[in-house]
Amino acid sequence: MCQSMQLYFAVLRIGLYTLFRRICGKAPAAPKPTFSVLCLGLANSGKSTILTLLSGENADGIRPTVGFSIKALMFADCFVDVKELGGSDNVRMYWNKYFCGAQAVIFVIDSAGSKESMETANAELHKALADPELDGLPLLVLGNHQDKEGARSKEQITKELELGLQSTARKWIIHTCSMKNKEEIMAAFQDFNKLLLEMKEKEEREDKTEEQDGEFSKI
Amino acid sequence: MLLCLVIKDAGNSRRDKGLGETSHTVHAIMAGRDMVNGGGEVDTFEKDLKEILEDGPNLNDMHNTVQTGSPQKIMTSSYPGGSGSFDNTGSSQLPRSQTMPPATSHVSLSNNPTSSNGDFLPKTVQTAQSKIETIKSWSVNTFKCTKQYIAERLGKGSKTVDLELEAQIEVLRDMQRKYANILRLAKNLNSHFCNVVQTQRALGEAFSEQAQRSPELQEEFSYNCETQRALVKNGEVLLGAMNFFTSTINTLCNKTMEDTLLTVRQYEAARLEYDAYRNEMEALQLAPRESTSASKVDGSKRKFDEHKVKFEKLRADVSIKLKFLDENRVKVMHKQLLLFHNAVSAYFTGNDSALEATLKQFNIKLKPANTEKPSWIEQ
Ligand SMILES: Nc1nc2c(ncn2[C@@H]2O[C@H](COP(=O)(O)OP(=O)(O)OP(=O)(O)O)[C@@H](O)[C@H]2O)c(=O)[nH]1
Ligand SMILES: [Mg+2]
Repeated sequence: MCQSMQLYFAVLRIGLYTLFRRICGKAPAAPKPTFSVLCLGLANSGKSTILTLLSGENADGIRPTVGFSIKALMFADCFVDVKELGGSDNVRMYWNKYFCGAQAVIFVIDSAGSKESMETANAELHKALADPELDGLPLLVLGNHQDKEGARSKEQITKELELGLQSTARKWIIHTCSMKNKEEIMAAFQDFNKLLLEMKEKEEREDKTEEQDGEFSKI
Repeated sequence: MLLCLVIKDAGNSRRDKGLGETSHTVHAIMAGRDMVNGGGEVDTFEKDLKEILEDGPNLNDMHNTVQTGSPQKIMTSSYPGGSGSFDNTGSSQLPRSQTMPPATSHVSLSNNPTSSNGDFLPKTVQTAQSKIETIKSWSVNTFKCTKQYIAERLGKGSKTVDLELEAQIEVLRDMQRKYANILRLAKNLNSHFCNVVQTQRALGEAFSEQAQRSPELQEEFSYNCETQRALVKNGEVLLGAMNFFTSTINTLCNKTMEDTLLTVRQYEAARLEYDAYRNEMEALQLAPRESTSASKVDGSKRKFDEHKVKFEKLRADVSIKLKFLDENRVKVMHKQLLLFHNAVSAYFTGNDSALEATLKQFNIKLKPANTEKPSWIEQ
């Protein structure tokens, strides 16, 4: 008698638990989106340093990136897989082989660099953005090395990189930062993530209307 | 497996193309709908649109309404729903270019929904035509590749093999499997160890409770509580290291290697296509003169050249990507293995000394002093 009662309660409990799971399980079902983002910039602009800091590692002893390197970053609202491409001359010529599948672009510069380096950065940035694979993708420009003397301001960078001349189809933002201040880097990425999430929402909305109209035009 | 890939890839790209084109029509429809929502004539307008989809806009009407200018009116009045005026659908493109308004009004025209609807009709016609075209060329391509694939499987058709590259690809695939196995084991270890640490924490709590409740065993319980807590503390550090290790290997295995393998798959698909067109061309060239026209041979030669370019580009891509991948893998693993080793050995040596100390003298205080932080944190 007692045993059968126990069994009965156990079954009841399992039933209730499953019910509970059913009800609650659906609410947090929306998973965080993942974006794959390309990180470009000349050698020594600090791409690896920034990404290493963001992933919570120590940024000492970083060596130049030969080829590419992927880092999975976790933020409160999304995951971002950043594919960094090395900025030295012999790697830059292969940049476009890694463009496929990117959803956004980050371009890092040394704000305190020489005039020539800014010109090279300008040329490389616009060459990359002209690639059909990167057409219309959101862009984050990071003016790194702000701790150095003579670092350019946002406005100066915008002017020297001719960011204003881009097509209106591309959303872009610019932030300044340095490896000495992780908050600045975080703030830049938070802003950027907002842009990515907006872009995704917009795409989803378009997909939906497309579906509706797809059905409609079949009639 | 290769076959499936080829077909799937081809199918996807076709479908993408199709979608891209239909999306234009969608925008046109949406623009129209918004306009009319204001006027409250949704139903009739939708009906009209359906007819437009089947027939086409009346271009003379459109010309008139462009000049009247009000977009609200344009949408409702240019398609009055009657089918009587839709007479010259076939030649619709010609009159349209003739009825273009003068350049002055051109700017407003391009901003205005009528023009998008004007574009929209030929687009659907084009879409239908190009869809048939793409389906046609896709099936021809798929047929050729399937034929080639089967011939290769049966050991008949000739196949281009880059021995060195194939070997490298095979090494990469094998490596990915091996790393996936390491990842699986590390994850297992991680979850087991997580359980251990949790149990230790619970045990420590239970000991501390008894230390307060039973004065006769207070000291003994306290010691044990402390040891468990010290274990937990070190264990959490090790868990952190393990998490870092697994997540990095996960990225390496499932993202970095995958990125290169994606190009490898494209390369393999291109290789199959290339061989298919090569064999076809060779067969045509060998065939007796009369049975094959020169244009056919030329056509197949051109197709072959196209695929040859694509194939060779992808071969170069794969070979450079493999090199870069190796570079990255060695760098990442060098760091990870060092960290993992440091963390694990610090954990165990830390425990050893702690255990020894407690064995020697029961009275010794268990402070984190003798359980040094693993070196990787300080690095
Ligand atoms: N002063 C200063 N130095 C920085 C800053 N960011 C990076 N560095 C230094 O610049 C050097 C190069 O940094 P990396 O992160 O390797 O540069 P990278 O862009 O990844 O270079 P490649 O991989 O070769 O393209 C390192 O020695 C960093 O310590 C910064 O904000 N300020
Ligand atoms: Mg780097």
